[in-house]
Amino acid sequence: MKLPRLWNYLTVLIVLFLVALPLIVHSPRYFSLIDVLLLNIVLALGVYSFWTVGYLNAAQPVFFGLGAYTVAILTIKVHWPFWLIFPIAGIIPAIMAVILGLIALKIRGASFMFITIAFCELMIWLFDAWKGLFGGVGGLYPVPQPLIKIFGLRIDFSASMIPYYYLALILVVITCLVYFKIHGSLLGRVWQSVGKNADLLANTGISVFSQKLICLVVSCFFAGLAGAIYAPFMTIASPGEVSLWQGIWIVLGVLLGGIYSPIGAIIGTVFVAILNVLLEGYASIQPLILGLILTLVLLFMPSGILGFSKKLIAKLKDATTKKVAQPESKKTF
Amino acid sequence: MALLEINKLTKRFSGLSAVTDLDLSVNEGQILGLIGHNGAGKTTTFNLISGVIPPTSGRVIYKGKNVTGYKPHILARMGMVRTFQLATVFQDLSVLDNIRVALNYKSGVTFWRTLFETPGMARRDNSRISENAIKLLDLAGLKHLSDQRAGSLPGGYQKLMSVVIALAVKPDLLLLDEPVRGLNAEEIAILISLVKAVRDERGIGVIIVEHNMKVVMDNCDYIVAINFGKKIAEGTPQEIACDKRVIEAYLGSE
Repeated sequence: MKLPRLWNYLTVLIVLFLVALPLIVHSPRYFSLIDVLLLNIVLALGVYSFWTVGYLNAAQPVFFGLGAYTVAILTIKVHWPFWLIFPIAGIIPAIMAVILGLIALKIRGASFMFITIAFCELMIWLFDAWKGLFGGVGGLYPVPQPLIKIFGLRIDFSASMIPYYYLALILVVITCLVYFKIHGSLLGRVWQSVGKNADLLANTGISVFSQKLICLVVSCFFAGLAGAIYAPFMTIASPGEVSLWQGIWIVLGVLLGGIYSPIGAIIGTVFVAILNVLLEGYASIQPLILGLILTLVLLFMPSGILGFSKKLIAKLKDATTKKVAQPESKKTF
Repeated sequence: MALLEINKLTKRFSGLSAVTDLDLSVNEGQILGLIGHNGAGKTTTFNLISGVIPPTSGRVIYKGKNVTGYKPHILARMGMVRTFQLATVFQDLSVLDNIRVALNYKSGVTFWRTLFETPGMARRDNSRISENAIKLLDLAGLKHLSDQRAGSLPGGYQKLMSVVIALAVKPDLLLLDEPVRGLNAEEIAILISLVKAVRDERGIGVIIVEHNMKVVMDNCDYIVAINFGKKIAEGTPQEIACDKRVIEAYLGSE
């Protein structure tokens, strides 16, 4: 989906706004929520990408958790510096993704999601049961705060939440760059076709299995990196931080956003996050509200929020261009 | 050496034999027609050759190599490309993107390259691929439809596109599964001339499964007729037209 020039400026504005955010938001609670939202966006982008090849992955929090645990284990037990551990926290989940892929990707379609659900529960049990490595139900605590020294700067993560925010923001930006690049390119079209017409695609010489695996591994790599930021941020890595429920929320956010573009996944995730905050006091009816909203969206906006907006804009365009006959129109948006 | 040789190819599904002891060979530059009733086992034969399903017994020998049971994408890389009856095009992509996707493997654009290429490299890759795609579409007279969503095209154009997609993969052996079903006379002529042009230029072999007898008789160099999964006759179109068994099996059909 090629975006008009206006959106480029809008993107720059949004990025500038996000960079300046710490100056605007002072409440630690909201700041923390936004930080977690950024990490969830990273997870959602991975889930979106994997959706385009035809599968829904409800186990994204597992890879997030593996990244968190990697950081926790390597800083607490082996005392490696953060900058070294950070990429490893992406690689370990990526390896796990390869294992999951080799086992489960031979299956088509909906059954895969059930496998991810089972996988998620299995891993949570493992995080709980393998006390020697993962520290049991209490997890690994406290996770030391990183202290990064680069270019003469000394960034002390224990001082405030702000370094975490910028680290998360950088990760989101990098993830966005990667995914927007991929999904805007021919490879993105290929991945779409993996989901929709695998037989025809195989017939052009492309190994459908390899493409699915690459997609899964990349999404889990980024999920791991997000977890790597989360562990020291929350100073804990425990089974409580990983939940199937969260995995399903992420999938729903992605579904809400629609399949047209990664932007949809971001919008959907933000929407779900806001919803979560609004429903905070009503934990008992959260599932009900969630189900209700999802049903409404799927009924009236089957192509997600983004697809719906596209159609709305197209309708508005039609309405305005009927009145204005000149060929050289200003951007009617 | 034949381009493709099938020896005693057999496929049994839970006791029911869909294809039995089928022998077949195609040479370079040859157009072979495979005819038979619905359910005679023609598409199953294609599925066996192209690796979609594994045979119960028998061998598929392609370019002198035993490729029995090889996966479809491997065979495609070796030059064996097929079309499908139903899954003709990538519905949600534009016509141009359909061909660009088909060209993807041969054009060497991998994951890492996509990730790390500079805008300059990306532009060059994209224009090279698009150029090739447009050339192919032009051969079939579909260039003017480049930006349309493939799923919105009428069925005849989609069938034509499925052949272009197959040709984009630079086949040495083309397996066409009922390529002219649902097409009008003009569209059939375009499709046949396209296939023949590629055959004349590059000496590819073609196996065409078809019900349209006129198309088969007019264009095939050799015909194999199967019934209930067994070969009942083979020969040139003239021989087949006179063959008693074929007439018996197809009396009254078009």
